[in-house]
Amino acid sequence: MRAIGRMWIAAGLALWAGAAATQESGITIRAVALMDAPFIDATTLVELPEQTALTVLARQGAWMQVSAGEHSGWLRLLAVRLDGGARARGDSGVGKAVNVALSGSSGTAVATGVRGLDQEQIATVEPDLAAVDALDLHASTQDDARAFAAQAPVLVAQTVKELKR
Amino acid sequence: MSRAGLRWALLGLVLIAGPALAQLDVGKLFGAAKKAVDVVTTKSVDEEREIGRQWAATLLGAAPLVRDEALQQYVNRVGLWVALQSERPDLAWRFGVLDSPNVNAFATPGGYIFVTRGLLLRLRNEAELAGVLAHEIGHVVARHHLNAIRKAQGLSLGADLLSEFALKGRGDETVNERLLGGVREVLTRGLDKGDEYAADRIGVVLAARAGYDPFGLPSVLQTLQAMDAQDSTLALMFATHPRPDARLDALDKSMGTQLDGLGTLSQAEARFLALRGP
Repeated sequence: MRAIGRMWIAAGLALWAGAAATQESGITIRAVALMDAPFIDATTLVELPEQTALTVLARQGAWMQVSAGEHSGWLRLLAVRLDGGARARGDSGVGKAVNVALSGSSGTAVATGVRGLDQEQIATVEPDLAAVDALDLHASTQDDARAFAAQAPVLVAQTVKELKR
Repeated sequence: MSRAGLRWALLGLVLIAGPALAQLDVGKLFGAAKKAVDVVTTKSVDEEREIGRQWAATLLGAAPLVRDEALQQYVNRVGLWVALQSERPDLAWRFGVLDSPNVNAFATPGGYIFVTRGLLLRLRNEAELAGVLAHEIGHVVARHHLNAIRKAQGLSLGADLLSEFALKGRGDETVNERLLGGVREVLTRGLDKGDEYAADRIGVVLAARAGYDPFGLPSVLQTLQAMDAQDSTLALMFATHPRPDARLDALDKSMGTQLDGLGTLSQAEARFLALRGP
């Protein structure tokens, strides 16, 4: 039983690593300019039509670096929807089985149906107030959080206005 | 008019105005519910916290914390740093990673925030984690849960909204049952859909204020959008939130190029991957 569990975990890790190594692909959801740099005033290389297939290379702020056919450059991140392919593959039946195996390894009693974050399970679980108090063990203080932000990679607080609907 | 006469006349006015004033008060209470929520007394914060405790206990009863001290501490640091940029920096914010394959994140009244291991495994960097936590912090800061509980339980509005469903009758089984029922109902039915869009907008802004790449949250939504909607690990999240592509469209409209000109923005990918593990 244990050996089988371990096998599942190994299989799961292999699948997961495979999926992570696979490059993400996507499609443009509107006509969008492909630029030579991630800036509004960069030079437009080509105007990509809606439904252009692309491969994701990197992300930076509002921009996504992609290659699309013979072109590569930067376009608005929000003009892209990712394909189900690479990322969804881990969610097949196999992925589900891996999830169960992993839960088992960490001591979650998934098989009993007593615990779990599904709709039916939440309706019947016993609240665990002691576990709420135990959250204090890992809590951060304001000073601690500020010290964390000051460490590399430094997080510099910005002034940003609220977004309107 | 004599002094005594004036006094009598004033008293008469008060008597006549009395019932009208009472009516006005009732109208105010029902009409300006939002205002009542905005008036934060120490008492109401305590009650909000107590409700949050019950709520968090339900979640922790459903899924325990991942046993990884370094990871839990890390998520608390990222989360509190983001929460410090909000209008409620002084809440006793608590963050946790739940040991569940489900892909989801939760906030409770009073500042308990959870993200599942299933979601954490799909994030690319710390900016995405910050974006998710910031969305949840947004629900707490804007007090979206009150809205949802009121709807779920059909509770009437009063000046002290929280005490309506709070623990006045602590130890009173029916009150606590009712509260727990409301918590479960909101957990499984979700918050108001409009409040989800609002939390997305707040989340993007809080992450940016904390010095993160504000496109972390949109990137997570892209990931969710690309997942198989039939996947059982997504069922509760998809049942309780608007579709990811609708959320992306809404953020696209709100954000425009407004967040383009910010300074150094971090994704902190290496730190995130080191602490989360492969």
